[in-house]
Order: sequence, then C-alpha cells, then structure tokens
Amino acid sequence: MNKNTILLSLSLLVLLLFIIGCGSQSSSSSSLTKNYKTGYQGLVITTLENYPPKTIYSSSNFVITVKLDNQGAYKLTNGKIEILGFNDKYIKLNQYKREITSLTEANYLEGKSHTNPSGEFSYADFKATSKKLFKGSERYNAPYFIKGEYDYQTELTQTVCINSNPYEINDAGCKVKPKKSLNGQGSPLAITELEEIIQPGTIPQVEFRFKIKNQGSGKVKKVSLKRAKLGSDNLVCEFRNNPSTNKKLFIFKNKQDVTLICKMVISSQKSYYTTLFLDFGFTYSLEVRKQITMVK
Amino acid sequence: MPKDYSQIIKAAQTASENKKRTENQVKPPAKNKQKPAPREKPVITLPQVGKTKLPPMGLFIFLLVLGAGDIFLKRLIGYEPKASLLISIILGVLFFFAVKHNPFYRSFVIGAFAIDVVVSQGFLYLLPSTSLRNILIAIKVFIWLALAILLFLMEIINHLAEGEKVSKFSDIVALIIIGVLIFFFFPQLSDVYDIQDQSHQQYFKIAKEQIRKGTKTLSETKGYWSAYLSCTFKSTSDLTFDVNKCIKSKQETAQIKHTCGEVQKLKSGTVAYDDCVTREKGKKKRVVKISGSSDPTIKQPTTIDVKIQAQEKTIFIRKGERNHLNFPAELKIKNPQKRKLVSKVSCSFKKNDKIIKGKITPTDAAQGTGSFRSLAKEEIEKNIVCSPPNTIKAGRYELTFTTQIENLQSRSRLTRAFIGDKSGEDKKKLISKLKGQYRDLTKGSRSAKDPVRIVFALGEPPSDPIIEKDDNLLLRLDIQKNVLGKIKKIKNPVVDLKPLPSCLKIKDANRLLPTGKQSIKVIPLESCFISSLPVELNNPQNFVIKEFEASIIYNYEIEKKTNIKIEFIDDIK
Repeated sequence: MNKNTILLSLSLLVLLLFIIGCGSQSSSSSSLTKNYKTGYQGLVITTLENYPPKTIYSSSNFVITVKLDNQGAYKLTNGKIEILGFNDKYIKLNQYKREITSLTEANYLEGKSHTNPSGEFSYADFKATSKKLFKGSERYNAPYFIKGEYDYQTELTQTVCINSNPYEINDAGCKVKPKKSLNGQGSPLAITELEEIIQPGTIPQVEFRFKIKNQGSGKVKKVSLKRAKLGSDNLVCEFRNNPSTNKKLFIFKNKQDVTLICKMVISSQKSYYTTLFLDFGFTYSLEVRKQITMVK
Repeated sequence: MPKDYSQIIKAAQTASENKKRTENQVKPPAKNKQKPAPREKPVITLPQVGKTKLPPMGLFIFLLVLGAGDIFLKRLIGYEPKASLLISIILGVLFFFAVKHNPFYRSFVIGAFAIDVVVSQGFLYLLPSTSLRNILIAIKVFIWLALAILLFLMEIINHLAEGEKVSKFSDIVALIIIGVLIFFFFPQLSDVYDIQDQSHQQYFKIAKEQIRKGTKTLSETKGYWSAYLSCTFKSTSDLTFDVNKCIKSKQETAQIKHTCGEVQKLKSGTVAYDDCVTREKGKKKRVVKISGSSDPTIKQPTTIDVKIQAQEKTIFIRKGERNHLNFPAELKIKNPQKRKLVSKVSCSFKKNDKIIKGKITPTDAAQGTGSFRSLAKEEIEKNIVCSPPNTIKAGRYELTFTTQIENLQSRSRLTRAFIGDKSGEDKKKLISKLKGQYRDLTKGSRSAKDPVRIVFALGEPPSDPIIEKDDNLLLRLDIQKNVLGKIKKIKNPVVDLKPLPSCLKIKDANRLLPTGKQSIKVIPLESCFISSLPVELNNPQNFVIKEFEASIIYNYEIEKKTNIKIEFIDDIK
C-alpha cells in the first residue's frame, strides 16, 4: 500500500465522520424546529393499570389513580379533577374532587414544547371503600365518570398576504389566499378555517373570518379572545351571533363552534406579507366513562 | 252535476211561444183559405247531458252488499293473494257495469280497482311492517265497501237533485245514521266472522285496528288537535319539552272535565266539581302501573316446594293395616337470606266435596314447633308424613299438602338519578348518558324471584327514573305475587328513602290483602307524595345516583296436590 492510498483512505474516513457528524447535528436541529402547536390534543385522562382493579371485593379499600397527561401544546391551569356517579350505597370515596397539580406540586401542567416534547403529566389519587353488596346479590357493576375541567389556550400564527388592490396587475407582490383550512393548533379548541376578504376602495379593509371549533371529546364552556394582531396592529374582532355584551367573550352552549370576525383598515397601498396572530383562552371540560365490578 | 231543468223547461216554453208569435206576425194571412193542418204540439228538446235515466237506488244498495261481501269473502279465504285478486276483478267488473252510465263514477271504480290490485297488492309485499303498510292494508280491506258507500251517497244526492220523489230531510238523516253506524260499528259487527288460518288472516285485524284507532281518537280524545297544536307549539321554544307527555296530560284533563262536567253534570267552580276532579285525578294515578324486575345479580331466590313421594298412584293396603297408610313428602326450602322461618304443614284427602283432614307427623311440622321453628339454614329439607284417619274408605282422593311458611322477607331496590335543574340539549344528553351507563335506572325496582316481591317506584311519574329539581315525587308501593300461592299475612312494609323523607303511613297492611281473590297478583299498598328533597339532591351540580331499598315480611302458603287411589285388600287369614 503506497502513501497516496493511505492518505486517500484517511481522507475518506474523515469525510465520512464529518458527514455522519453533520447528519446527527441536522437531526437534532429538526427536533428543535418541530412545531408542537398542531393537532387537537389537550388533557388526556386515564386510570393507572390496576388502580382501581377491574374487580374489587365488598368491604374493602382501593385506590383510583387518575393519570393526567397534558398532550396539548399549552400550559394547563386551574385544573380540577372529579369522580362522579358512584352509588354511595356501595362505594364511598374519601374525596370526590381535587385540584390538578404537577408532580412538583405546581398548580399547572406544562404542555408539549421543545424543552418537554412529551408534555407534562401528573397523578391524582382517590381513596375509596367498597361497602356490602345488596343482600343475596353476587356482584354489582359500578359505573362512574372521571371529569376534568381546566383552563387552556389556543394560539394561531399565520403568514398572510395583505393586498388592498387585488386587481392591480402591475403589483408583482403577494396574492391573497381567500380560504385556508387548518389542522389544529395543539389544543382541542381549534381554528379550523381562515377566510381572508379584502374590501378595496378609498379606505381598503381586510376582514378575517375564523371558524373556531371544538375538535376534542370534551366541551368548551367559554372562550375569550385575548389578542388578535396583524403584524404589530391590533385587529378589531367580535364573535358572530354573540348574545354577550362583551364582544370578546363567547359562551358555548350546545353548538360547539363559533365564527370570529376580525377587521382592520389597510394603510399600505402595496401588497405585503405579514403575520396574523390570535390567542384564545378557554375553559374545557371532559368526562371519561369507567366501570368497576364489585363481588362478594 | 244536476241541472235546473225547470228553468230549462221554462226557457224552452218561452222560446216556443215567441216563435209562434213571430210566425203569426211575419206570415201573411193565406188568401186561399184552406183547412188548416192539425196543430202540432210544441216539441221541447232538452240537452241530453244529465238527462240519462237514473239507475234505481237498489243497484247501489246491491253495491253496498257487494262491498260488504268482499270483506266477508276475502276474510273467509284469509286474503289468499290469488283468490283475493279474482274477487277484486269480479267486483271491479260488477261495479264498472253498474256505474257505466256515469263516467265520473267509472273513474272512481277504476281508481279503487287500481288501489286494490296494483298499489296495495304490489306494495304490501315490498313494504316492511310499518304503519304505512298497516294503512295500506286498511285501505285494501275496506276499499270496495267504502266505494259502495260513496257511490250510494252520491247517487242519493243525484236523485235528490234530479227531483226524484224522496223526502230530503228524512233521507239525508237516514243516510247519516247509516254512515255513522257503518263507520263506528262495522269493526264490532265484523267480529262475528269465523277466524280462518289462512295466509293473510292478520290483514283484517290490522285493518280493524286502524279503524278502531281512528274511532277511538274521535270518541275519546276530545280536543286532541287543540292539545296537539298547543303542545307542539310549546315544544318549539323548549327543546326538552315532552310533547307526548303534554298531550297526554291535556287529554287527561279534558277527560276529567268531561266526566265531571258533562257526565256528572257538576258546575265548574263548585266544591262538588273540585272534589270530582280530585277524585278522578286520584283514579288516574292509581291505575298507573309500576314495574318490578328480577335482579340478575341474585342467583338464588327463596323457594318453597313440597315433593309428594307417593310413587304409586294406587295404594293397596290390607284392611287391618289402615293405620299404616302413610303418604310421605319432602319439604324443600331454599332460604338464601338465612331467615328464621317457621313452617306449618297440614294435609287433607278430598273426595267429591268431602274433605277429610289427615294427620301430619312429626307433630312439630303440624304445629310449627321444634325443628320446624327457627329454620335458619340456607337449604332446608324436612321429611313429613301424612296419614289419613282410620275411617277412610277405599276410593279415589285428592291428597293435598298445605304448607305455610312464616317470616319470609322480600327486599327490592330502586335506582334513581337526580339531575337538578338542567335544560335544553344538555339535559337530553345527560339523560341519555345516564340511561346508557346506569342500566339499573330503566329496570324499575329489582328483587330476587321470590314467591312474593315488594315493588316500588318513585318519581314524577313514578316510573320515570330521572328526577329533576322541584319534581313532585310520588312513591308507589305494591306487592306482587310470583307463583300460585296465598299471602297469609304481611308485616313491616319499609321503604328506606334516606336522605329523602318518608311518607309511608301504612298501619295495618293486612287489611289490604284480598280476602277471596287469591288470583290477584298485584296488591297496591300505598301511594304518597314526598314532601321535599334535600338540597344536594334537589339541585346537584352534575348528577347524583341513589339507590333506595324496600322490604316486607310475609307469611306464605302453598298447596301441593296429587291424585291417589286407595284400595283395600283382604287380611291374610
């Protein structure tokens, strides 16, 4: 083997190491750039395996351990967890309602983020005692519900084109996309559709229509618009068919969707791209059905 | 439609006279006086339309008979499709020729034939068992009679219009009476037809039921439509509004008003009227049935059985050994509650109407003492022997063992959901969720398949398992007898409604027991209203599931019978 061959082999090896090194570096950077604010997940409620066991004996103690997993992209606050629907003739709990706290006793659960890619979870224990069965009865099926209620958030960040003169052929700028479907923002309450309507004229205006819909299995109680911005300017917004005097607050009833309409006067004559930002706060509740069987 | 022929006649006469006058004026007098031709009478030609000779009414009565005959014949053949089709074709032809003079009537006949043969026959075999199918069956069954009635009425009107000699008022009244009689009483009259086991025998029943429904609605539910409209209108503003409940309530109120006002002739606003309304309301509440069901989680109910061990139906015994004539039996009691029971057994031999009392051994069994007292085991098996008196004669007898068990207990439980003040879609969803998850809610009170059960219900109405805020809760308590036997005594009916206040005021439940009619299976014990609900149940934030319990102690008697034949054989000498 001559010198040149050794040098060439070494160079190839170094190059290979370099490539591998670069490759691993690029993959770590992709995890950093991952967008967690997609999808419709929020709080996920489950019970820990065997807590409670599927079958319990009469006149015994057992524990219901509820796992509370924040799978959404936002901080969960003011959380409460409640066990409902036990027939107190057969099952008695020491405590029926608890506040949701983190494992470190903080009164919130962090959502998924770069620093916590799998979201924060916690447990809530409910100590219970089974009583005697009805005389002669061999078993009792005890249905119950675990109900969670919490405050959550939805943020929307979108780049939009503002063009006050859409028919101007000389303007080689951006083109307004009138309708856009969205895949969720990492929260059960999602903005599913965005419409942009330009009203040209002497005082051109842009109108955004956001379809906001509950995509989770729970129920939205009320939603309030915290911020609505186009670039650095505030949008003037109101919920459609809102009976409330506070135009930025909407109380959901049976229908779990609403349209938000935001408007702004366009000052620039030229088309431009800018960032549309919305931030909602809402109260969400969900129930999980469970059942245990009590035997003699 | 009929013409006013008198006017036409007048017009024609006037025209004829005018013509004559014109002729007299225009024609110059004949110079040569000839003998005038005999004067022809003026001929009046009336338009032919409607002037066809009207067929006799007898023809339409014949059609009525045919219509009725169609129902009779088709019922007789059990609506067998091919034979039915043949009858329909024959009827169609007869009807067609009967009314061939009138194209209007002919179109009716063709329409009826089409409905009978094409629409009903065709659709009936395609449609599933729905109300539409039932309506089609009703049409199919009654169509020819209905057509005959229609043609009869129309022809009567036609006759009257033509100026035929009929007393208008009396005929119309007679027709209305006939129509009403056919409409209201036809289903009852039709009961006389024999029942055939042919393929579509059910058609007639369905059709009859449809007619009955209609007549029942008309005769019994006064103001139904106003109630329907009013309740439907209310439901538009409240999604949870129960339209059926509202209509039922309005109908009941109307019926009570009718009973007190029109039947009993009481004046509204008087004390007597108010008393009548209260009484009638009470009656309606009492007739509401409450249901009890078997508790599937209780596998072992209380059972009582006497097994007569007389293997041979004919017993041969020597005359000198009459005192050895014994009939053993086994008393078997399953007592899963391990209650301290007392058992008393007696026996008898019945021949014709004569009853001969037997003797039970051991004597404790007859008196309910010793080992037949405080039977607290889960499974009790006792041997008993019945011996006839020495005077008994040979012959056939009915041997009866009568067993009375004292201190039995029936327990039942009832689940109710308290949902407080919910409304709209939320309430609907919650109720559906609760009924889906808590199956016990929809089962009424549940108890073991014991010989006697205590059945109870609570709510507004008592059968409704969902209790809302400020509901007027009615508690109903009944006893249901499961098997053939007699309830001899009842003690301590108790309903544990905690935390609800109790309203039971039964002092002596035994007076409620039927004296003679032991075949009665349900004995109502008490109905009372719960005065108030505790706050946690009246308006809970979510919902509360509660289970209530009722129990009763009772004495029960069963009889077990067998036929035996006693034959004496001579003693060995």
